[in-house]
Amino acid sequence: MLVKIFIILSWVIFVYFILICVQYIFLIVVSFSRLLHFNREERTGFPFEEAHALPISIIIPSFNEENTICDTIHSLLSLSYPKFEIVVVNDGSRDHTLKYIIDEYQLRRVDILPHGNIPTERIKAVYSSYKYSNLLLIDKYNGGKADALNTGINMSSHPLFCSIDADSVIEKNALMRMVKPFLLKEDVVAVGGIVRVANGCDIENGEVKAIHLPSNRLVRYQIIEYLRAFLSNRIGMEKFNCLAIVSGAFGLFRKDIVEKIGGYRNTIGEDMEITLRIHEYLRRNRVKYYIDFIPNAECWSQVPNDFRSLRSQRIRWHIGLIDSLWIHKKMFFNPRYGSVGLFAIPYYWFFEMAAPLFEFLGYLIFLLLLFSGAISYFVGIVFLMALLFGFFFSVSSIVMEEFSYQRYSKVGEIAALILYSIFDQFWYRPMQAFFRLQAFFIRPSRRQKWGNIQRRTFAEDLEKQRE
Amino acid sequence: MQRIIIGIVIFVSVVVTFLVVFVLLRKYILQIKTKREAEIKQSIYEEIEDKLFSLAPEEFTNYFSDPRKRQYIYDVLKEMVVENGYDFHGIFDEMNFTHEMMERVERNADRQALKDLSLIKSPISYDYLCQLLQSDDIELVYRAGYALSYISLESYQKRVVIDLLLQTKITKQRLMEIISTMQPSINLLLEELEKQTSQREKIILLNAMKQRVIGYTTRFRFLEKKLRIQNQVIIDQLKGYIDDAEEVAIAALDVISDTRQTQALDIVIHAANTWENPLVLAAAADCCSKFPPEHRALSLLYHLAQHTNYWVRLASFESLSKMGEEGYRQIFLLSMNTEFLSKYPSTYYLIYQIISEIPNMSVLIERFKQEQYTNQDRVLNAS
Repeated sequence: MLVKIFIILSWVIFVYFILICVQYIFLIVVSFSRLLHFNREERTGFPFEEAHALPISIIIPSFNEENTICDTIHSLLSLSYPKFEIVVVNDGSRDHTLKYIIDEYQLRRVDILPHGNIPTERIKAVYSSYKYSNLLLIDKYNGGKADALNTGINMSSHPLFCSIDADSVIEKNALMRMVKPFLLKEDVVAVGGIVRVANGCDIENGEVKAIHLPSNRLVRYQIIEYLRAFLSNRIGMEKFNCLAIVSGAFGLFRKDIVEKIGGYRNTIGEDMEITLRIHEYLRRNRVKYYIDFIPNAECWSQVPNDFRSLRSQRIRWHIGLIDSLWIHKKMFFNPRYGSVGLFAIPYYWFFEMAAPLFEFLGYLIFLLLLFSGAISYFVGIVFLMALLFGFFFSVSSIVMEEFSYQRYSKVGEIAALILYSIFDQFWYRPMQAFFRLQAFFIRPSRRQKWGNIQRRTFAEDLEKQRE
Repeated sequence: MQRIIIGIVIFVSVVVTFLVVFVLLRKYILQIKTKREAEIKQSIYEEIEDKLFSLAPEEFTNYFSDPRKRQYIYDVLKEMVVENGYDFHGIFDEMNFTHEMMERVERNADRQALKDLSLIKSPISYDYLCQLLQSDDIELVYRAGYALSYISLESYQKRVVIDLLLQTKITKQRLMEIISTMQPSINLLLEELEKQTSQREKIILLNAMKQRVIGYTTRFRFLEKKLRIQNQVIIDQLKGYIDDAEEVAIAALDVISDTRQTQALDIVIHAANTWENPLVLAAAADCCSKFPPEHRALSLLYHLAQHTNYWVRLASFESLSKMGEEGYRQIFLLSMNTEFLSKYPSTYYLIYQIISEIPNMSVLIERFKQEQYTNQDRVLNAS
């Protein structure tokens, strides 16, 4: 009986693996052609400048970000965008975040009332600066990231808002690139940008001066992961207008739409949840819309460089994914929701949410067979095929990176990434699967907590890299 | 099944190997090419640096006549313009780069070429760029305007360009920047302003004047007289705009106060007494900081600092904080007005912040306290 179950499981995992490979290959092909088309358009088409820029409110929810918040605000103040405001929301930080911002930018307390009416936690004080008239700081009681974003939306005065993380640095022309779809197409409601790994890069005064591969091995694996996620996946999804997640680290939204759907929900994966809710709302009301993705609008963000932070982050992301999918379970295979219901949501259910289960089982079965001596030639070949495909997907992302933005300029860096793509299959991906699997067993009461991620300033990170 | 899987494994292995080799080889070749190009560019840069200011454009063209190096020469010259703000239009014209860029724009609506024309700054492109200002494509119009702003133009040419620009649909902010970059004379701007009837155009021209008004005082009598006459003309012409629409009034107040003449302060006070709009009042409060801390300005600010609108109060306090000891004295007086503070509690914090930033805060506070005691004693003695 046990043997039968074992065999059935093995076949299920095999079929699952075939399906996931087909999906990934499909997405890679679509992403690649889309990327080439996008780059061609950029070179020969409309190199949009400032003539018609729409005003944007940049909202930065901030909780205990004393190490990086000023760098982030510096980088935003030096953006080459004609009209924008920065709304920093201090979400009840327990460190010196508030003090550092007030001192750095000479802020004064002001009497400004919120424009919007999304319910949020109470605001303690609002600060503005005479010197930086487009900088607003909101100090509020802690309510979570989603609550902080909603507060920012309520306080913002522009028709578009961009959510970014407090430890992110966005490229000077990134906003200009992000706003372009809103000008070229009338029905764009949200645009996602690409998030890149800032660790190891020279970031001074909020500007990325030079890009290097970090010396931290864990971070290198994450670079490959980010390339896969953004270049191989999101570009492909965007083609069918079923992009299920506009990254919370860097996304641009139409404020009126977000206000109509009641703002962000208080969940861990608030970025995915709101994107799905936008899809759900607009499709239900049969409104023609588009959610775009701009692969050359770059945001540089720090990633965890130790196992504990990485584990915490991945568990959190997976909890966010599970929660978001569960909240929108009615869209699952529902033709009413078009490509989102029929393609994106099932994709995330089967190939993202359930993936750690199958991956973990696959590795477990293989190891059991190996150590019990029952491994057959066929199983070995299938396992080799699985590793090879994993390597192929990672290399494809690196190839796409090379054919587009070439951010890593040295041959050695590319060779290192390719090498790490091999080792990725042997320990990093199984570890990821294990972390994500744990998300299924986290108690609901602990689900809302973000956990601790060790933040360092960009300067500290560079110092460490140079050592 | 096994054969299929082995086949797939072999196929994927081949593809992956090919991809890896291809990408590494491509990267390596690109790296070498980039390095080589950088070396060539560096050597050309050094050569150009050496010859640039010792050869006339024609001689320069003859010296650097190698067609293989043409693109590098163009890039290096552009780089030098960007880094140092040089004007090499003679060389660009002589080497035919200007015409090349104009042709590229004409043929392909090449925006990069149009952008380059703003670096080239050649008067030859003037007519062509003026034509582009009348294009339907807003992007071309914007870039053409931008390019024109960097060319050294005669006064009559600037007039033509300003007229054309004001008819375009470029946003106000961008137009202000373009016109400011052109650096038209004040008289030209005043003449243009007189012709305008719409608010938008008035606002643009008034804002363009902001950088052009010289309000400083000087020891040189001749210069001072000249400035006074010029500023008087500005005040006389612009005072009528104070009663225009709100944005126009704000822009006019800003320019008038830049002259720093006594009559200008009269106009600012008049505007503050006439207007109820908080934006205009805040602008008037802001303008007061440009004048010396005389009684009228201080009284106005004291009064405006108690306005119901926060932005008016903020502007008043900020202006007072820039007016030295006299300004701080007004702030201290306001801080003693508990009735006012209880109506606007956030002002407590504002006053606290301003006072804490005063360099010799404790000395000033002590002096103020002494004055208050002295005044109180006088009042008591009098009674």
